[in-house]
Amino acid sequence: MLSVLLLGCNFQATLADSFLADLDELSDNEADVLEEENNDVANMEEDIDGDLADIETLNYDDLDSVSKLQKSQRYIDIMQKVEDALEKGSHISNQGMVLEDDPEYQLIVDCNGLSVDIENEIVIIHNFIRDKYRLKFPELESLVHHPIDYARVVKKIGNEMDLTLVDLEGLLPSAIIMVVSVTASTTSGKPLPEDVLQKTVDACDRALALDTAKKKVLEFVESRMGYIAPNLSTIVGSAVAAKLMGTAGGLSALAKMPACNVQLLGAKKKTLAGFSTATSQFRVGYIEQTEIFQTTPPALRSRACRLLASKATLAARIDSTRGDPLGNAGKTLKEEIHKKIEKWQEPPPAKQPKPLPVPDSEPKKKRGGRRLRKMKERYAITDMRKLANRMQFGVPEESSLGDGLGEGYGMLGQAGSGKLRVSIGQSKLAAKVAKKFKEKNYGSSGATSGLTSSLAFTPVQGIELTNPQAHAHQLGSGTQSTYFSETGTFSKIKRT
Amino acid sequence: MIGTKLACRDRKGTSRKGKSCFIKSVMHGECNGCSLQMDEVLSSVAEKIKNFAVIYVVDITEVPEFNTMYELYDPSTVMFFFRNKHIMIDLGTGNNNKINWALKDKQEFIDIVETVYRGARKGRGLVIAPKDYSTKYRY
Repeated sequence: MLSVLLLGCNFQATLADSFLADLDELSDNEADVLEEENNDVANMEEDIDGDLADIETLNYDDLDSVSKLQKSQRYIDIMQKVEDALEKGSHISNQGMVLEDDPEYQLIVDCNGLSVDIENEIVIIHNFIRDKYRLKFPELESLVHHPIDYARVVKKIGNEMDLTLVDLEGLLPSAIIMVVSVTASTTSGKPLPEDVLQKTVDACDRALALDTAKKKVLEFVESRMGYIAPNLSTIVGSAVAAKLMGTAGGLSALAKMPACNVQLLGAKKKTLAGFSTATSQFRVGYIEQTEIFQTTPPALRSRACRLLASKATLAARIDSTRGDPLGNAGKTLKEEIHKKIEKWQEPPPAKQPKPLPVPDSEPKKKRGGRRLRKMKERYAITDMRKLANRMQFGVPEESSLGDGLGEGYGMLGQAGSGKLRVSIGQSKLAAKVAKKFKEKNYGSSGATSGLTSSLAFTPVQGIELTNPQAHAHQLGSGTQSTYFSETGTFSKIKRT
Repeated sequence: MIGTKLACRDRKGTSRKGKSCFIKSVMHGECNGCSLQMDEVLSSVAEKIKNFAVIYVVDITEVPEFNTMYELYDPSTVMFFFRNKHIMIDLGTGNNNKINWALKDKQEFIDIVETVYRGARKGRGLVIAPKDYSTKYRY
């Protein structure tokens, strides 16, 4: 049916694969599906072929087929215009004109697009240089990440095997130079053939040329920034505003971004392995270079960054719709930012000594619930103690020392109580739980302790059998009246 | 029992009145270290207990009318009154009517005042102090 070409970094192939897999799962309209599949695959194959062609061109030695931008007409036109404008110097004479009709504005829009394209181009060229130079010095690409620095270093080193003869001062920080020199002494690369070397150096030159072009473009945009986006440049400064616009790809693109993205525009991602990340800044981009950010104390910098990014986004949105050509909104926003940062730096209000509240005026917060009940159970009055506290009428109680001395035993152990021993007894909560448990498992009702005996030893009859349940409610609840009779009434007042 | 409110400490009468008419007055005798210390404690405590107690400082040399009635002979005396009724405190010293000596600890004093307030609000004429001062003279 279809033969799908799988290539290393060709994700189009896997995309086709997934589409086909999806289509395979459809069961109805097989014929239509097949047709669609074929069409899709035809397109995919074309694309794949296109990509194949690209990859093959990358493998070619020809730089021009890889990097087409510099030869393109568009590029040449725009660069020419930029240079003219830079020579003319800044002039703001077109205040009456609508922004969109202004040719300068159009140029600036083009510049923004161009700077993005230049950046992409630089990446492609960087890949090209890297592929070529891999034979000579493979470790260099992991040591020097920035494409322009890489190009410079490659140009400087050339085909040299001994790095002590190469002076990398000024191109790289000295720490990295040291690392590069050390790695070069143990590298597994071999010197390049002459033509490959020439091509590589050409590519480096082109990358550097593109870089300078980009810088020119940025310079131009920066000089016009006050005219294009007055509010934004009031807040963050024209250089940073130009950079932001350039990276975003235009003022409207910048306006459409959420503020969190604006904060991260231009953020450097990698720190080299072996160097500490403790001092590396939290996620800040070009905003880091603004004056406001630099003047805030380090503790407040992350908050300031967020604030700046959000207000800058607002200003960009105002500018993209040309809502405030004079830049007043920018000024108010800047004032706001300053005020907020100052407020953050204020010391907290002094602590006032509070007078004591009136005693007993605030009722105690009583807690309830199962936990408290369980805790209280530990100190609750036991049945034994209850019995000991009560006395039968007309029956003298026994006492610990005998004859009324010592502690009285009350109803504990008296005849007719039906209990030989008073067990500790289960607490109410435990009783509920035990009851549920028993009903679940054994289906019996009533919770009698295993130690109760139905035999009672009495002095008169010896052993008497009593119904243990009969006296179970002897203690009873406190609500049943033991003093007042249920049936008796007042003598003079008739019971109704 | 009326003096000027919180003037200087030297032989001046200052009275502090409680919101619930809880009056506590301090009578001052000769201005010496004992009364100054008591003064210090009272003034530092006054703000804290102002919601339920007011402190009046009275100089007994200037207002001698009550000296015989309340037997005010010591350098510093603190008595407690609640709604015009004298409240007695059982301090363990034998004299339940007043505190004759200078207390050093602010928190102790606040505790005594709170106890007096609680008991007085309930209607008690005699409250028991949280700390026993019977061994006060043993150093």
